[in-house]
Amino acid sequence: MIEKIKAIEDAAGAEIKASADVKTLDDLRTKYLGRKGLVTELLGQIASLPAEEKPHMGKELNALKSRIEEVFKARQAEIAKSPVLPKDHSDLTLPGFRPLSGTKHPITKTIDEVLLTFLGMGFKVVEGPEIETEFYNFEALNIALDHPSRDAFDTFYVRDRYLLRSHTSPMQVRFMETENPPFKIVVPGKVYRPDAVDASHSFMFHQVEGLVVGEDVTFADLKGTLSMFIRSYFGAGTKVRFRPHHFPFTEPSAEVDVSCFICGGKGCSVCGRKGWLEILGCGMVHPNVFKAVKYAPGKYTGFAFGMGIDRITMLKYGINDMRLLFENDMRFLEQFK
Amino acid sequence: MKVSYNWLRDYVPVKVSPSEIADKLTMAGLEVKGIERNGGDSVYEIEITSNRPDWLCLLGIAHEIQALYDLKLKVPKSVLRKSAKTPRPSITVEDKKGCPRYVGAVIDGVNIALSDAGIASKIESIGMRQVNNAADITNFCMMENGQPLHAFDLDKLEGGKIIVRRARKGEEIVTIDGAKRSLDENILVIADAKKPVAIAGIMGGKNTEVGFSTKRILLESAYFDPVLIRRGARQLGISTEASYRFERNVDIGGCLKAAERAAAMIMQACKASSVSLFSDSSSKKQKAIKIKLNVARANKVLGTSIPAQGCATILKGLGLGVKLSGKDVLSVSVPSFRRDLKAEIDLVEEIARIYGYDNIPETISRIQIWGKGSQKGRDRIIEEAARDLLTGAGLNEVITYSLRCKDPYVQKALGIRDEDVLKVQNPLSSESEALRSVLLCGMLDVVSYNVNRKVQDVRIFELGKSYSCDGDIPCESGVLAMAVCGMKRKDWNKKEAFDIFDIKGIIESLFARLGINGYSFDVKPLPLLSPAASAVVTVDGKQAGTIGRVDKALLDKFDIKTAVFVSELSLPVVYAAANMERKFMGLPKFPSAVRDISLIVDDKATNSDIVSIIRQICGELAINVTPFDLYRGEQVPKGYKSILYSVEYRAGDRTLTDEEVNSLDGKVREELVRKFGAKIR
Repeated sequence: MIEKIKAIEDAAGAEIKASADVKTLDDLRTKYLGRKGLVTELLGQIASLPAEEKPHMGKELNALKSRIEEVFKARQAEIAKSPVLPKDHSDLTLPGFRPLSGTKHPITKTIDEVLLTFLGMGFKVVEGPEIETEFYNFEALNIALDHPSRDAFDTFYVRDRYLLRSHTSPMQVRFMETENPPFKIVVPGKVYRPDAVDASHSFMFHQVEGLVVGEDVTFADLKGTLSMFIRSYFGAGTKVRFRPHHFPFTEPSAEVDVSCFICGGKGCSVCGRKGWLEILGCGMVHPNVFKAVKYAPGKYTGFAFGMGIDRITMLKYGINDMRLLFENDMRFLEQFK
Repeated sequence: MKVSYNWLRDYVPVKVSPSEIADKLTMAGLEVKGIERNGGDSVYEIEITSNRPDWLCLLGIAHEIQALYDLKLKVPKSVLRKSAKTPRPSITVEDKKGCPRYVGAVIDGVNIALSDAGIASKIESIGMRQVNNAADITNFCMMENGQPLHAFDLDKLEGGKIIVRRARKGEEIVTIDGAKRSLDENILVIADAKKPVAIAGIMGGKNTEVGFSTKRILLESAYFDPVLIRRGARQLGISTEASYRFERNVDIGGCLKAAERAAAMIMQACKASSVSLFSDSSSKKQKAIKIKLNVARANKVLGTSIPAQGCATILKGLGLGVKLSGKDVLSVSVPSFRRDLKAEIDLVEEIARIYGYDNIPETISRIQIWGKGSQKGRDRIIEEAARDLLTGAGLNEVITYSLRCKDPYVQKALGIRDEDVLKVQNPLSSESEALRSVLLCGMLDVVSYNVNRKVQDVRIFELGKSYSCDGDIPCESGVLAMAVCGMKRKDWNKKEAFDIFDIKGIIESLFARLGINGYSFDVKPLPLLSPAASAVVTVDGKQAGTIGRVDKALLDKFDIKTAVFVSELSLPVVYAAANMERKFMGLPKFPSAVRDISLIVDDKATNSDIVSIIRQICGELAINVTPFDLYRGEQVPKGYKSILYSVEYRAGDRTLTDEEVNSLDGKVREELVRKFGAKIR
């Protein structure tokens, strides 16, 4: 009997030591201490022993049971501490399993960033239709049908008097027809002009338009608002200049240049050695536009501005060919994650 | 327009350097696009805005410099002795609307030769070609004062006279560039007794032009209707220095003076013997336009405080007549060369320009914030949420052209009538002749572009518009389009291709994100999609769009050899159904119990059939019914499938007892056996 106890203890000790995980350990516990386990079996044999051996062997067996129990506990603690590394997980230099992730189109990213600045200044975002009428695209914006100023707004026509808007400005008129000042709005959207596609032209492109109207909105406000936008979007150190220009629907009008952020204003190929990049057009809303939307004459003043998003996107990301924006090569898009 | 610095200084004694002037002009609205050094001269390339025809000449720009630097303009004086003995030209203006003013004079005894070096070098410095002394002077004068002039060889004019009239249908003219041009009633011409000899305001005729043998010149200095010239030039496809100026409006009050200046120069350069008295079809004096300027109002628009005196100085410098009329009001009289100035706001712009935009302060409008509703409209909020979810799901956003070639195959398959396709009336090419009816073709363009460049895994979406026609009214409507192909997982231990259930799952996630619950995918064969894998997506009872695997025939047209799964959803339907409000519901207070049911059931029994039975029986107590382990094959009879359902039970008001759950589970099993002849394993 004593030999048997010794043999079981040795075997159990070795097997427990060799066990590597909780499952094996549990199986071993069943093997030795379970209802039909080896130790239990020996305990069952006590009954058949001579009476004088019974108490002694009983003690011995119970001691064995608790010793094995101890070994189990110790091993269990060890296993709990040691990390389990199945074979496949042993080489962590293998690449991780990355979840899929996509990206917004760079034009959307630019629009979102531009809008963010204006939202912060209390503007509201509104949108308008791409198919417009001559009235909204031209007449209400003080653009005479037979005037050279129309040349800058060459237009795709789809039906008599219906056209694809050549700028986002028609939304100025649509908005003012239904809303009264004061208000501050920005209008993002697609626009179309019959320009053949090449590295710097496209017949479809994107603009963000802005309009602020109230009882005492000034040209100084226009300068302050757009300068704030430019410094927030292009960086605090960006220089801004407002250059007189002509747009039929604003007066006084200006084009806005920012110091070239590629060369820092020293002159490079991107800014045509001028040190300035033209990024938006703006001006005080022309009284004729207020007249077209039937606002009381002389009551309101306001400013409007518009910028080409595709150009800003190209400048910002250093994209050298406009066609890349609409080819949608995955290797292009995924650079903007 | 090219402008020579040296030539400019003939008219205004400016001393600052060429580059300083360039900056000053740029900041006054005459954008100097470039400066070319040319010997001792600098030649500017200046962009002149369409509202300022008066800047299309050196005197106009000199005027600007006078105002900017407070200098005094030097206007050249012409000394001309007109002779009553030389007969005046015979001029008849038939179309007075098309030609409100026509000034003409005869210069007799001219000697046509090459110009002297002084004139030649000037016109060549700005890139004009020299022709002969008379023609060069007409060009010189046009550059000087902006009035286009024309010199005819009077002896070649039949009947020796000029008639300004509309061309007659069928008339032709060979212009000085040698091109034969067909004319019609839309074109204003200068004619002699028999035929057109010039296209008015656009280009002269070849056979009446001044040449080396010319002895008598008829000099023309006219004002033509800008719209008529613009339309005519467009119709004929010609744009000349003259038409460019007439379209933008020349100074009707300056015709005579310009003619006198040119005649005097021709007299001298061509050593002519005499010049006739001038014929002028409209000698009435051009009245100056009067505009009142309220200085306070000007400052209110600009956000400045420029005193009335300062405003007056600026306007005077620009050549306008200015009188103080009452406190803070200027009475401004505008001469005929500034017909762009029509109202007070035009004067405000002039003051701002010369005062300097740089000197206007920067302030922020007192309008605080938009009052009504959210800053972003509801549609935009939904659109942004959709975009975030889709990029998070691994899709890249694309932007494709709204204009595309017509696609008869797709159109026919979708039953779109040709008259419902919105075509562009003036397309650039057939590649972009129509507004898209669906986004599918653009999506397949992108897939094709990529797979043909060995980019096999394409996951894309676009939020764009589709276009159609409602009778005669063109319409546009927002669409969300998606396409996926290739591998969704390509890790070192596992590869998994995209499947229709991936795109379905993305839509389900999207609907969850947008709070859309009442939707279904109704399987049915759809055009352009594989009949075995296509479904209509219904949201709140309205057809929202489609989902499916693209049909092989269509893929072939796009040269795509891989399976492509697509979906197109109508944004208005999605916007209407979306619910972006979120409200916390409280966490469940009682535990749930799960029962799994393993079925072998006829292949025709759909998941939706089975789930609806379970829901019917359990009502709200079955909070989740999840299928898994779908299996067909060995151990499952043909025409059957093995599938497991895990049903999670929970009540909101108590802990369900084992007996309750078991009883529901038992009823479900019975009903599944009864309805579908299912075998429960």
